[in-house]
Amino acid sequence: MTLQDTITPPPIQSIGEYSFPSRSAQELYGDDMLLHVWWKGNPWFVAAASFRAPQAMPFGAFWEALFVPYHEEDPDFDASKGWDQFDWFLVNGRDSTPITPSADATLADLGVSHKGVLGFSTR
Amino acid sequence: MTVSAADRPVGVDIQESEQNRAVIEAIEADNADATVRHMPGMIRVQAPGRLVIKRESVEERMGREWETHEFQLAIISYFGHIKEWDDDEIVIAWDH
Amino acid sequence: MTIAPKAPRKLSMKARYSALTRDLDWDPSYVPAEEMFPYTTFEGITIHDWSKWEDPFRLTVDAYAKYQAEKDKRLYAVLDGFAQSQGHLSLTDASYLNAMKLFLQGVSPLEYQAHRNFAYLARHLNGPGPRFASLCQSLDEIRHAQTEIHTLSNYNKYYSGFHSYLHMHDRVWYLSVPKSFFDDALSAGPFEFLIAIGFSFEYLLTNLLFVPFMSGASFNGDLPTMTFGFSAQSDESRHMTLGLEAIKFLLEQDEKNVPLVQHWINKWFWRGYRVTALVAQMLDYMLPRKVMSWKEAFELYFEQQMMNGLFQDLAYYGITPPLHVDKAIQEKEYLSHQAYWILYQFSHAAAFTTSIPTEEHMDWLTEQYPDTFPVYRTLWEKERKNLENGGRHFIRGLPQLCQVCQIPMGFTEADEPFVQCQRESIYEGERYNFCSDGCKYIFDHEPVKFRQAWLPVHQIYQGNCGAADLPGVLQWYKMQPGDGGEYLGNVDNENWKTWHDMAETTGGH
Repeated sequence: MTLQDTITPPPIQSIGEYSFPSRSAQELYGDDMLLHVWWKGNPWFVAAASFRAPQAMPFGAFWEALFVPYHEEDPDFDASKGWDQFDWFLVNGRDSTPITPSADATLADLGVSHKGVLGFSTR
Repeated sequence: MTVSAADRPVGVDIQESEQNRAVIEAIEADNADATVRHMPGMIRVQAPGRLVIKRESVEERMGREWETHEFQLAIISYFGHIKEWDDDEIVIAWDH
Repeated sequence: MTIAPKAPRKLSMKARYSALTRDLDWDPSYVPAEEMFPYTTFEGITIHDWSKWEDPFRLTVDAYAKYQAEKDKRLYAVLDGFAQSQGHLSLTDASYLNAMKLFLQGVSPLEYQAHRNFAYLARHLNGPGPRFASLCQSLDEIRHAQTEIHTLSNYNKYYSGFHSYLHMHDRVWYLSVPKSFFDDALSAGPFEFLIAIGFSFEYLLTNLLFVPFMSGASFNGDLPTMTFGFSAQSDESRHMTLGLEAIKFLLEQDEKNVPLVQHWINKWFWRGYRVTALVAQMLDYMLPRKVMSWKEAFELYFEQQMMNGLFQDLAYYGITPPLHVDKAIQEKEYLSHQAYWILYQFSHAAAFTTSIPTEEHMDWLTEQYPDTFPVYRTLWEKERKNLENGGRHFIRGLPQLCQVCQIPMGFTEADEPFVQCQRESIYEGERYNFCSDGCKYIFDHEPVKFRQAWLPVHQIYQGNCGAADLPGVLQWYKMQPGDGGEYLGNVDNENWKTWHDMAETTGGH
């Protein structure tokens, strides 16, 4: 998936050729990506979590292996209620697009891409 | 809200020390509108528009010769613009 | 005290300054001026007449050496006295030193970097006045780095977290905040550097950075830090002057410079302001005995002096207050609460410790922040229960970082206290995340620069930080047991109690 650019920067002022690659580009993570997981409205976690995960990781496996061990540090979080206790969405600045996770859908299927923000909030 | 350069406060923070007491007293004497605030380890002198530090006034109170460069040992910070710094006086004021 | 010369000087200050700076300058004859000064055109700044640059201090090299020597003499007398009298035992509490650990790890290395860049300006600016002022500042900055290291080295004999500060500065996640800030300035052109460090940092924000640290030291029994702080600050007034002269000079030289300078003010105000989040939490949370709240400091040093003073002066040139300053003003009500909440839950991966505020401390915060702290107090009440149940809130993973300021993205929308700002830009097909409109604005102007950012979290995940697990990364940071985590029960806390019990029982023998 290629993302559409949202900015057009002004020309660079420099003493010579100035073009250097990103130090966080997706290629640097092989078949994995970085994703940010954000519990919107829960201040216990001061910032969204950042994980490295395969793009083809099914949501069920993500929940078990990454999501729960991180979030169960919040004494009010009850993993046994499953992911349906939350509304899920993809974040774009102040906007968001709702999504419906399922155990077999991969993170990529759900529309999560490198350095994207996967948001959720308590129902 | 625009306040003219003559009214906007300028000021200087000075280390609290025996030496600097004479400097602060001189500033108070030469700047009728100056106000003094004590803070931990330092003293802030502030005045509307303009603050002047005069060599003669400092020397009178210190009882010895004092060159204006010595003010560098006393000053912690300031706000405003240093308009003049010569052998006889230091002036802090806004330009515009 | 025999500083003042007895004999009258032959030349006035003005004449001496002129003789020792401008009269020592020359016009190149073997090479064109552009070859001698190759770096003062590419940024797009136009200078017509370098001789218009004024140094109101009229400092000459002899006076400089004399007064700097006197400043050092005074400082080292205090350091010796403090060390000889076991002065560290008269601090308010060992936890006070967390502020100093942050200072040594985060700020002192910047002094050294400032020394390097001002040495570069001392060579590469065309005018002799600003070259000499830069030379003095370069020497000042290395003096600051050295005196700070000397001063704080005394604590390294007794307390954790002070060792390996330079190594940590290059590697540790929270130190990448000040490091990347300064690297951004070092890799800019000379004029942008002057606006970034000379003006925005030294003039706009220096009081917010240094004066609270030094007053905090004074209030908490740390005489040596207060002394090095005030000693450094006395140079700082010259640096402020250089910054202010620089901006006025650029604005007066050519109208075309105004939009460039305005952009740099917008950028560097926000860059510097984000770094001061560390100071905000220090004032409100780390000092056992409080000096003033961040909010009060911000109102005094920024709103009153800069917004109501300086920016009215600069309006004459068509300069407006920095973009996004409104957000900073809103944030004064909650910046420190959010910054400390970040450090609290990540201090297991830091070289300083944190602890839950006491009830008395929280009452003080409520008094200072009646509109906002009650909301944050509910968080601490939840943590209190968590502690009673044997927990301690340490995050079990890594946070999302802002691509520009590199701080974990814990700052919220102004109108929603518990909703973090999420901003992003997509450039050449890649997404970048930001904590604020201010940081997004900066990235959007220079994406090719900021996409190279070495973000600690991203680097850990690439396997570039020693290991994939936390203990391995901490080892790569050179952190030792006792450097970080919870203060209560920590080695510094235990030693402190032992030393003070000892002092009580052996007193009188």
